[in-house]
Amino acid sequence: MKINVVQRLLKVNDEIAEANRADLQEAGLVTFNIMSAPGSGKTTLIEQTISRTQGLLRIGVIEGDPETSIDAERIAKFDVPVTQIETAGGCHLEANLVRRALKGFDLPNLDLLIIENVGNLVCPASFDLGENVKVVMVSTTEGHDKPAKYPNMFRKADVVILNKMDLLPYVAFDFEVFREYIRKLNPDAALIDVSCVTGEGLDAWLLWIEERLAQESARQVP
Amino acid sequence: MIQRVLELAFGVSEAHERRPIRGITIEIGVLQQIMPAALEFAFEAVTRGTPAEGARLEWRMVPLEVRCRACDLHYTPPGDFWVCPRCASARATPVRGNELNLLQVELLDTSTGEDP
Repeated sequence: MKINVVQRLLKVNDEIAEANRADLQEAGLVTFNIMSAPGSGKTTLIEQTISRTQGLLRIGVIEGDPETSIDAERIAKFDVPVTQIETAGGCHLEANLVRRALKGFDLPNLDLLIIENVGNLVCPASFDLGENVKVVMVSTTEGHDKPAKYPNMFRKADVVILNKMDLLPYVAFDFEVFREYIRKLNPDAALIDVSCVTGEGLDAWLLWIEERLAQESARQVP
Repeated sequence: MIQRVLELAFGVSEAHERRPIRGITIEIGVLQQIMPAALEFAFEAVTRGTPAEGARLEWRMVPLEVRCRACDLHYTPPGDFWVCPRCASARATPVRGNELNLLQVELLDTSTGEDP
């Protein structure tokens, strides 16, 4: 006997993501989901963001990794609330994991929640966590063809951060080809090139955050 | 993903006197970038030793269709770069192709005691 079902596999995740989104909005904060391949510089970008906005922005961080709390320990040095999610081999974060982690934060007393996803350019794009902004990071050492190879991820980005610009002279990364790929896949995405090591471009990143926060608070019902 | 499919399928089985699962049909949109071969492999591995062992996995691929955000035209991009054939805008929203659905569960028909 055949039973027709028509059940979305991601239904449960999406429902929890919407619940997260509602709770975060009610608490009056903006949430970023930072995604990239392993080693692009997500954690370093978060460190730089925190250190350059201390006293101005109240930031909380959720870290996601298959194993260890290495990243959370790095962030903890900055005296901001941080929780580590260890997925035990899972290659992406899901809404239920984030929901559990949210319980550990005093959300109304934060301005910005940054979720650092598991390093992976494929799966995280499919799992809504309840965020407002999708940040996709890539670095000059990864090759300019990444947007063409991972269109799904780059198409969903609100902002693309190209990191390790200080290494550009040493790698075969064609910035114009890269920029063109992004423009063709996602003309509305902001593209910010930075070096978390030299500090190049980080002002533009902070300005983008400021503008985005202003946009989101104007959008939220008081 | 396969585990999620099985959870739902076992739920259907539970709701029907726990009849064994003989087949599962899923619908996958091309944007999900899931390889059927990987799916088959995972399905076989995960169902071994369960009441769903030996069940058939069928999938239907849903092709991509997008709606141009500039002029509202529905079209199917030939490649990864979405360019509207009418107005050349690169801004488009998927209308079909993002699906990840369990469509149908086939349970053993115990009235005959045989596989259909």
